[in-house]
Amino acid sequence: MLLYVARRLAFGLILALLVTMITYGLLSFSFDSVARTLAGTNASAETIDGIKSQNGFDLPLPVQYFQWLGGIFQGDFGYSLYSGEEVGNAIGVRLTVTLSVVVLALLITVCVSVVLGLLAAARGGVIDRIVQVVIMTGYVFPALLIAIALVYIFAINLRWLPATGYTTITSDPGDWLRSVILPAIVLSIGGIANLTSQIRGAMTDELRKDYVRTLRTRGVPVSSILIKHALRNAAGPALTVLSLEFVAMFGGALIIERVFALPGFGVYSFAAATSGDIPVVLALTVFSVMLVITVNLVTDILNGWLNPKARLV
Amino acid sequence: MSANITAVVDPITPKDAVRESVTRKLLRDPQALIAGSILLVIVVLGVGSPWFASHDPNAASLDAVNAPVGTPGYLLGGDQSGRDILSRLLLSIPTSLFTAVIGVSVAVIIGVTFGLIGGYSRKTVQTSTEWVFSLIQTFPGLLLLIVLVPLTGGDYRITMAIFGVLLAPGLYRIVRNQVLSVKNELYVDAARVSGVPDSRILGRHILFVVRSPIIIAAAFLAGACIGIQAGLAFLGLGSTLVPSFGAMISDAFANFYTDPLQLVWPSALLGLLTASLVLLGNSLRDALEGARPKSGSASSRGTTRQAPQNTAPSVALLDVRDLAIAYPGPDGKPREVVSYVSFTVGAGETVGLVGESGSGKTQTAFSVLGVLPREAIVTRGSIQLGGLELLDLSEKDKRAVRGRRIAYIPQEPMSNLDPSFTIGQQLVEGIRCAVPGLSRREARATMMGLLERVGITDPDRVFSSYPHQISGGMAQRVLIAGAVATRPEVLIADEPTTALDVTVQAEILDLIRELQAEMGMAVLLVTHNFGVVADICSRIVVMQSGRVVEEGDVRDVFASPTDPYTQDLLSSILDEGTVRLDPPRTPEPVEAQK
Amino acid sequence: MPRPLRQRRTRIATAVALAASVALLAGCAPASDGASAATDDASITLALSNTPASFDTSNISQSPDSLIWTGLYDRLLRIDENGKYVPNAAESWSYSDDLKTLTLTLRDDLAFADGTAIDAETVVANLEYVKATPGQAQGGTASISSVEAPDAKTVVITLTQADPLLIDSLATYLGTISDPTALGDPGNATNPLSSGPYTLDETATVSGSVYVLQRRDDYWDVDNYPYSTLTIKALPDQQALFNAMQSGQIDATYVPSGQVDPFKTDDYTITPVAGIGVGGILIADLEGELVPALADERVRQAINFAFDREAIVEKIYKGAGEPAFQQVYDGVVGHDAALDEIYSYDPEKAKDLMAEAGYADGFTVTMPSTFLSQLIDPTIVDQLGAIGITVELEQIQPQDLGSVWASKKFAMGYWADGASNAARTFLPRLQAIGNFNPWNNTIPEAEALLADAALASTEEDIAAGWTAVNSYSVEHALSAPIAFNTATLVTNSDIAYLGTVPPQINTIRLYTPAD
Repeated sequence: MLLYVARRLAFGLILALLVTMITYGLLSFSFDSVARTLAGTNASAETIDGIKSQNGFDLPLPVQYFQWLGGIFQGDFGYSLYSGEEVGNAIGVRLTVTLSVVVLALLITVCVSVVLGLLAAARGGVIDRIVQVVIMTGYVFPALLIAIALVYIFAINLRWLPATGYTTITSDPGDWLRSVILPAIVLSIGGIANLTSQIRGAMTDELRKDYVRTLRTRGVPVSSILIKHALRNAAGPALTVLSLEFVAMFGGALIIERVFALPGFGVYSFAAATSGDIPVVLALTVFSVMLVITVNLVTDILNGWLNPKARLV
Repeated sequence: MSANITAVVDPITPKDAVRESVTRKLLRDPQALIAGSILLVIVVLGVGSPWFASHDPNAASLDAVNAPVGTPGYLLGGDQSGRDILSRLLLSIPTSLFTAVIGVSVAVIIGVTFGLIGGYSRKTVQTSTEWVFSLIQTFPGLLLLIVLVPLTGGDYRITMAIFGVLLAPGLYRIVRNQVLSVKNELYVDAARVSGVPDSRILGRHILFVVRSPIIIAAAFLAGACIGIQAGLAFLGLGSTLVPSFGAMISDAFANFYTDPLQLVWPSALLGLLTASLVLLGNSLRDALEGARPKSGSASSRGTTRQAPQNTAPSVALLDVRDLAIAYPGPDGKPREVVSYVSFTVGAGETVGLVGESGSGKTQTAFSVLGVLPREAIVTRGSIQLGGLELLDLSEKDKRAVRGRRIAYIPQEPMSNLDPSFTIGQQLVEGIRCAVPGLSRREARATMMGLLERVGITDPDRVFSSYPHQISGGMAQRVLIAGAVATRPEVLIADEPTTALDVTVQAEILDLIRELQAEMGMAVLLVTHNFGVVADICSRIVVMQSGRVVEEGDVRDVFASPTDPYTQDLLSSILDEGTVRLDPPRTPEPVEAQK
Repeated sequence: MPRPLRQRRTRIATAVALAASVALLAGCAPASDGASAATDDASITLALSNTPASFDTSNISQSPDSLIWTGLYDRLLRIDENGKYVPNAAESWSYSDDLKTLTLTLRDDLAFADGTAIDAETVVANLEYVKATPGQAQGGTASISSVEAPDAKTVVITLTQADPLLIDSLATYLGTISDPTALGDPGNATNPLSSGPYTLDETATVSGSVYVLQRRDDYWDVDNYPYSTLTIKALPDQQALFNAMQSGQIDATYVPSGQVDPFKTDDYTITPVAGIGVGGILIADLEGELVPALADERVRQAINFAFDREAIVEKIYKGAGEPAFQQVYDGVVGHDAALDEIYSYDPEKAKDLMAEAGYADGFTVTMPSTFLSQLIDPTIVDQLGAIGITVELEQIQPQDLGSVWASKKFAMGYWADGASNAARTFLPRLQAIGNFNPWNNTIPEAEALLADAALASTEEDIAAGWTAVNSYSVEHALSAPIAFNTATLVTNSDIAYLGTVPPQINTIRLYTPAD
């Protein structure tokens, strides 16, 4: 098992390297713009050139890349071109913020989706139609509008929850929860729509299978069949959807982070990418690749645990 | 004695019903109809938008700034730059449509092609496609799109093409997995052996099987592409000179407090578009792959059950009278699949319920167990077990009977075991549900003993095995063990040997016979195989098209069948002594049989 | 520094202060302003409409995050709430007669937060560092040839030529004092050793989100800083900013004109700040290399007649502004009310002028479309189109904003800038090496007027000099200004805003507890 995990992670690292190489190549087209932006609108040509050599933009691309790579292996991700922050640190801080929101959103998503998907598949009829409408609203209404509505009710009118900002869990767990609950709810909406659809579909298929009927003939109660048997079998593909949602939420949290002014991963990535903050973009790339690899790995392991036929060892 | 019962209502069996084509299923699905119509309207509007739009999307007039809805020339008002909202709205549709077309096409072409290749080819080709697609999949999408903006110039068409490439791994995975699972199917082998070239196998056979997940994925991908492009436009990436929902929403949002209505139009239309695609995708999934969750239980239909004609108290252990089961037909009205079925099973008797596929025998068996599908309605009759009317019981009470007093052995052993649990776990669960208060240890001990009893030589290994790790014959024995664990009064065996090898068949039948003698069970053996009937049944009930056509002692019926159908059935059994004299028959449609 | 998010109305980034008396006021002791230190432990929470950049002194500029670094760094000079340049760490300064030597005299009670004294050598080290390090601030040192410290209290800056922008720079980003032993340290980007009235509270600060500054009680001017705790929240999103204000999370912010209604209660004070910037058509190709038509003054004047400025202000900017016919705002040195009469909204006259110049059929020009111009682009296209100029817009991505003019792809385009410092407006546009003059045009009359203004030493001469430059610019239609912006500041009613002119940079000194 350990060997399997190690192999997958090593594979991931190689992928990460390839991706960063390609990214560096793409970023090189922006060197000139970035230097000019860093220099400011009133800069002289000397300043611009100075900035270019300061950041090594005038070196050949492979040299630049290997310099950066060398830094990585020593754990040095460099400094942000714009804010001067240490990149590793900066990403770490913002990661905790986004992780808080994403994990909470996932929890909400799973709980709500399982209930709705089960109900829709097991009861059918009117309940199924209602669930479908719920799914539809999740797709139709932009997260933005819902965010505004929620902030208006809970932050501005009732003043129960903060409208913006993030409190670290270490400084005050209560405040932390208050600062992430609204963003998590908004973020979970799209996930609920997706996952409920998935569970509904998978459960419907599952409930039509023979073994369900046979279990009934043994006198096993319906609730047990639904939750213990059918859900477990339906969970496999749902797990894949969930892992995709997890990764998607990281990127998709962007708009929510903006509206709630959370110093998270999404806005950081966006700002870094649009301003061409090269060390940050590269570090983010490495991180994203490793995130996807890890999530896939965990999903596969979980899948193996759920589905004996897919056991890996 | 054999009896002859005439049909009253013209029955249709579920298997006889015409296989609906996918299109017809879609047309019948209100969800698909609504979604499809909305999409059609939007597409027409989009295609015709250059003619429908009365203004250039970027043309502005200061008089039209924030013009209210209904201003002459500006039907939906003007935005904060003085442009006509309706024109911009209409001209945003082609942007979204192109987005979907480009994104999905690229994703499908790349994903499907390489999925087919990757799934079908040798290891080396497979590994390289794996690498490439893992690379694409792990690429941080948003970052890439933003970083590429200086190169693409914000042109949404190039951006969507790139995005399509990023989406391809998803399709690649789906197709590859499907290909892998059908690669070793017999029909593929057959094609290969016949010399059909690989490309043809891929194109004709495999692609055909794989088409449904692709179609479904395409619908959802289209929605995703439209959503992403709107999101990017909203974030300010991409050209503001090209009208798009995202740009309109972004503008309207900045203007929210001045004129909130401006936000409604693009949001609503974008929402409609995305929602229709998702709804359509769901309907496609329902039509192509599975079914939708079935609607409410039979009792909620409000149809009351007619009483049987014979109301005398029952004497036999299992007494079925005038049973009729109906399903909703294509037109929604109930059509009977089983009509006026009556027979009895006495204690310790073995009765064979015989008929061809589609005769309604399995339906009858299910109704005794109370495990008919939700949409089935028992319209008439009674089923009594030792005088207890089963059809009147609540679900809770039925559960008390099932598994304890009436047991069931299914036809196909493998699909009737939950693949995620070990044999032992399932057996223990079953018996503990049927016998409350039984401890785990006791249950385990009982089941182990039973596994031995049904002829499994290594009960420990089987107990901790998963269903896919044991053979079909063993699985059937396991199911039998599970069924007889509570010493039921009635054992219903549904074609217990059909899925098994011939040698194993005999063993299973012997097993059933032994268990019956040992436990004094009544056995209702549902089968189409007269040989099996001859082997262990004492009485026989012959069904055809949902009706009982003959009933009586096995020897009597075999020797002198009274019903022409029974005669036909019996005469088509081949034995060494008989030479067929009838001319070869051309297959006739089922309805013509009498 | 360009920001990728659209923040038109809260962009006080390049807001420029009124420079009533530029440069030459021989300094006196700092005048005591009305702010009392009575509420010693008051705290205030302000908002920043962008995520702060590095605080390293080579990287800072007149962007909004000056709110933070003006708390952390002491500056040689200061701009008071009336826009006047007043002494700060330097208690006096004076120019030589040829304006090529600036002598500053420092106070003797300056110290860093760790107790280290600040003297002339410190200042020299700082200025030399900025001069030597490529960054946003380096441009401000372009005219400096050397910096010396003849004694512990005196700093002598020698220039290669008269620099009208030097005092303004020394009163903002260039005058900052940071630890000479740590120049260039990576840590300076986020938490430099404080020489100013506040220190950064590291535990409470979340980089990129919340900055908490605690007042230094050993600071020499501590009495003029009534707020002991200054919290600054970075809220780049318009909606988040608005929500934060409405829910009481911040005490003051600029609010877009259409969203002011919720604050018209007794709990808030609303202060309009006019002239906070000016937007209009910047004409870079004055010699007609790319678009020959623009070399003709009549064509440029036609452009000035093409815009219905009143309607644009009223409709596009919802009244949050005033029509602009010149690049500097009323009350700024160089402004001349008479210049407002030259042009008006007269498309017919514009077309006549075009015909006179030989362009009766008009011409085509490509203009950049940036997040600055997005709102007004369609109107520009429409109104220029009405006089025969066909405009093709080319989308510019945010990361390419810096190279828009340098690329020489655009003969003219919409640009927004400050309106309260004539030197900062005209030097980049009219100097041969100016950043908004990519074709290095030299207009002899304009150059001469610029030189006069730069060499003026008395208040009257300075005013006359810049007025002459401004008049030349307007009369010969070197650009086509369209509108000044008015921003609406909303504060809690227990906070008073002291600014009487559009602020050059954002500082805590603009706010005080209301009595």
